Amino acid sequence: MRRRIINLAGFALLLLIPVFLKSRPSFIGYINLAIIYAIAAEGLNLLIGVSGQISLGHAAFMAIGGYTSAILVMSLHVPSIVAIICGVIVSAFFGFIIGFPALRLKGFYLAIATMALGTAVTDIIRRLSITGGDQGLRNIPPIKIFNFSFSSEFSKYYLFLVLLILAVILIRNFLRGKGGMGLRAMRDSEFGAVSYGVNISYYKVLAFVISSALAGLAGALYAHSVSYLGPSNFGLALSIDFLAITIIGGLGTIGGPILGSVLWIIVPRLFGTRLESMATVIFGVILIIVVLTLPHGLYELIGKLNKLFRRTSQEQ
Amino acid sequence: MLKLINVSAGYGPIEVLHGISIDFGTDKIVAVLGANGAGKSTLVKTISGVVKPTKGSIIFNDIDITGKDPSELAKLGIVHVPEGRHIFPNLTVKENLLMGGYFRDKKENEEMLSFVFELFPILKERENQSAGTLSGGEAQMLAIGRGLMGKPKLILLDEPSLGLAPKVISEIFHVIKKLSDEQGLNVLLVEQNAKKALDIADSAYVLVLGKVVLSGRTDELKENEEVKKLYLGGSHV
Amino acid sequence: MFNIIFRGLATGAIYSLTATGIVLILSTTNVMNFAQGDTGMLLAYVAFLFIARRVPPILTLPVVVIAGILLGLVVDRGLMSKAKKSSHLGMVMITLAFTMIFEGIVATFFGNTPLLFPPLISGDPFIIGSTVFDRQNLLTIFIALVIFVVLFFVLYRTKIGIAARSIADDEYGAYVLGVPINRITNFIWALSFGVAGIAGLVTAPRLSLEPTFMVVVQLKAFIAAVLGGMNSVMGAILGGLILGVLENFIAYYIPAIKDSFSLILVVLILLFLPNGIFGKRETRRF
Repeated sequence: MRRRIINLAGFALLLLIPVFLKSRPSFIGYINLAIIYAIAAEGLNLLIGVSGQISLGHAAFMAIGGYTSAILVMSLHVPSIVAIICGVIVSAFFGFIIGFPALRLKGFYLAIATMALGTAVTDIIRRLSITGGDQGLRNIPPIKIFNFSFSSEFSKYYLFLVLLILAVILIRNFLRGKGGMGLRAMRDSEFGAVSYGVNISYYKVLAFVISSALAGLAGALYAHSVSYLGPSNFGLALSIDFLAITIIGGLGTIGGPILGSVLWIIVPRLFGTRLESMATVIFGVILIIVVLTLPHGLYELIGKLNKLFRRTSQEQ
Repeated sequence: MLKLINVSAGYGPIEVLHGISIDFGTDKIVAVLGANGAGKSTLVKTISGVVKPTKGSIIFNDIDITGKDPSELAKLGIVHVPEGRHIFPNLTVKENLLMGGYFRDKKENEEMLSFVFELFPILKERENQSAGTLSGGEAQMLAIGRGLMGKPKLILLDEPSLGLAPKVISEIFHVIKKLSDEQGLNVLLVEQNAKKALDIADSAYVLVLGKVVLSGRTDELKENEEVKKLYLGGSHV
Repeated sequence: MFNIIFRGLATGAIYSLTATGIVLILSTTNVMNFAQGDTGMLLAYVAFLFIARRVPPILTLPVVVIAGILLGLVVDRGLMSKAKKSSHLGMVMITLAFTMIFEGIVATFFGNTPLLFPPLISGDPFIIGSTVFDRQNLLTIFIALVIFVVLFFVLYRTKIGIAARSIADDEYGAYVLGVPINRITNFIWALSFGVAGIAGLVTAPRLSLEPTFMVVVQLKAFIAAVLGGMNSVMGAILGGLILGVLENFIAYYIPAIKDSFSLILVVLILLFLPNGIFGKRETRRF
């Protein structure tokens, strides 16, 4: 009972955040960016934490989704929802294509291959004129659903939040079902999984498809929110950032990527823009500490603190 | 020489050796026999420091060496020739040998090199070939030679006959016996090939599921009915 | 035509140097150092500090080597040895964390705007026939050659070098023999970082100094290492040189695919020629 109250309170808080911050729309903007990153990070988390594969090219899928949606809306005047869905599908398709070669590669080699492919994508984007080349695409229109334009940070917050919650629910149900068990079995012991009849290839490719679809969604939301897409924003650095977010937040947990994204976007902003590059250093240090001491990330730490808190309050 | 007092050891939560006691006494060559999985290799690894004992102690020439690392033990005069040899395939025969003498100085290494080449002339022939091209028997000679480079007082041989033809096995065991007789080298010989081992050993211990079930002088053991049935009559001859 | 080859060799020399550093660490410790390039970048900035104080650029060479060696020792002793218990993903993340830390530190103290780095050697290029031998390129190739010779001497004629190769061959065998694995690993990291420093120093005059200037080089170095089989220094060297020359040829004749060429190449090689062109035996995978 108490739990439900806390959950409801938390949910109400979530709904009211933008109201509290109405005077600081830019801050809401940062929260929106965090939500977008969280969606992408959930995808990467599925790939690494659950299926045990690695990708240093996650940002490229985000770019594919974003550019596809933006181009469809801007050049072909496709309605927002359709464009975004196309962005997701195209990203998922590329995930599908990459999933197959990924079957033959492991570990370090998969990392190198995804790194190369990610860089190749940004290169190609740079060369095509339809993507605006090096300059990128400007003035991408906001999402429009039934004549309502999601141009204010306020409105975007609710839209993105709904999408994030949907994504989380979908992932949770997937993980609880056969799919999730298959992936987890694979991560823990491929050999064992095969002997139980788990079709490894299917699940590995599936993991890539889902994770790239989520990244594509995030990319599309990004495009119509920030209104500008540039190839240099989706390079290796962003892919590494996503890895850091996923690991620091907590690999293999659903709350982890959200926690990581929030920390990533919001914490440096709290310290002012001059210290932004210092923030990267600090995150690097945190990453090392997490890898060495907290294999399940900060989410695990919070979980432990929670238990501690509950135990002491029970004793009282 | 070497004494194990009630040593237990294993890998993480799995205990493989349960209270093993071994005493070389004045023997030069001691054999450890047992089936696969009896814990023979674990025993060797525990003595050489690869595995740290959880209980008991190991004494070597009155020094307590329990829990020491292989590098320390190599300096103290214990050398482990591992099961499967683990020679360095991309290094030359000579470079392999030099690694055995890592802790000795240049002069000692040169001395020991000529000694090993005399002992195993085929190694001298293949001195500058990469070790990956050696046959099974030559590789075993290299592994033993590499161990000798450290000028050990005690050499631990883990399954030297594995994968080798009978003629080669005889050659190698002959060399081991010779080293023991002429150089005074002490040998702990872990072997599945019980017959060959008992031929050259002074005393032996039989290991079953991590415990010593039988031990004694080899002449006695050779007459023992259990030993004859389980280890000498079967396919291990 | 020789111009293309010459320039290709100079570029390739940089790839080879970086790839060598990567392969040295990978073959002895099974860690893929994704921070090899950025280490060179950091050290290049260190050199820049000296150059800003009027030290002649060429004299910063020993500076980066020593700084690299020290950094390598600190990193391995302080961190990587503790990281041994982590998973492979963990090790990758740690080296990636280094890239974040190095790039962040540099951006904080020097900003993100590209800085001009003076050439290490000045003067007009030598011209023989129709081939132009630019001095900076010549120096790059020369330095790389010297480093490679030194490396081969160390790896094949010194005890510690042979020990490093033995660990790369069979770590358990070396461990059992009593070879001090930790000390030699320290040595390898120090060596690799020293080489990284040199790579950074010779690359800096070609591109401007900025926090990400070695990222592309590192990617190419990985490609070169894959070409060479990932576990041999000789393979890495040859892979780098070949990649550099090939790239220059493609840049000249088919400029459109200049950048993507190597990226597609590496994926193809990873899929179809897992041992690279020169790889020996089985490559280590986890």
